[in-house]
Amino acid sequence: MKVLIAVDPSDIAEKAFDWYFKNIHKEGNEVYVCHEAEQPDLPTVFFAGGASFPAAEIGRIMTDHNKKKNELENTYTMKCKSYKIKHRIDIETTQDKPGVAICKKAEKVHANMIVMGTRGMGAIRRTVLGSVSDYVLHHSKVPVLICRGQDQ
Amino acid sequence: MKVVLCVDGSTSAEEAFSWYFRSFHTQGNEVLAVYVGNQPHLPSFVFYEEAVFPKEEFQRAVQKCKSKMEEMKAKYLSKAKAMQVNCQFRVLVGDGGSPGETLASFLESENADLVIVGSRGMGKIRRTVLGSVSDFLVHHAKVPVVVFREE
Repeated sequence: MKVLIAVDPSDIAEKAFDWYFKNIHKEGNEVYVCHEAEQPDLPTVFFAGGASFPAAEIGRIMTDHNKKKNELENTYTMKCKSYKIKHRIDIETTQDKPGVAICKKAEKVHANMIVMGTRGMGAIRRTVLGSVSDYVLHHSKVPVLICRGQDQ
Repeated sequence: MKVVLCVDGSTSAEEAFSWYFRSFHTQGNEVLAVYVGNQPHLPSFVFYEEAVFPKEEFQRAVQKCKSKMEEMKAKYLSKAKAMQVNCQFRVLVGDGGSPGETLASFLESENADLVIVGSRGMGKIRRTVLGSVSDFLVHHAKVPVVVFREE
């Protein structure tokens, strides 16, 4: 079975990942870890009396963004190695909303199942189910495993 | 790991059941196929001058529910046998709550580790992408939930 695990830098994603490996993973399952990062908001430029192009700021935002992506990739590469599983990791930046991108990814790689946490990095902690998990749950064409942490 | 498989009369539930055992099941998992029985629709009666208590209708309604439960049990136990897997079958009777609520409290009382539910079952409203039971469980179950979709 090909399993797509959608992660982000949150604890919940890590716990979902670990739970999948401890309880669900089977020999022969192909694991595909993905993160669909939203294109960061770059400052818009508008020329009002000789404004200069905010190259430095844009540079900083992109460097930050790429740094986070690399950290995420390293974290999950190490985790996959410690679990000793054959895997692929794709941390990408996308123009689509994360939910849409995840569903597209699942179709592209012919995943048989999507695994994800209930919530990620969102600031609104009152909701039981974050917007990305909610979207994927409603639009996925394949089974979705929503991993709720024990303490939630 | 204790796994609860929510089933009803739909083909979606049958597919979820097969999928679970084909692709998901690990030796050692304890599997409970659970069916939430409908409360029988008991006819209400009004006292006219000489109303007769609709005893037969009551009995028929109750019998109908019972046979539905037996049918479900037979269906899933024979599926399990055909797939050569071990699976228990339980029937739950809601105490007035929705099937989702009944299942959620069952999950707690059984200390289940995982629940598998179809995206839609017997509901007549086919436009909704997620049926009421799967929606409820995703939001209220305290354990991981797999929402099965037929591919």
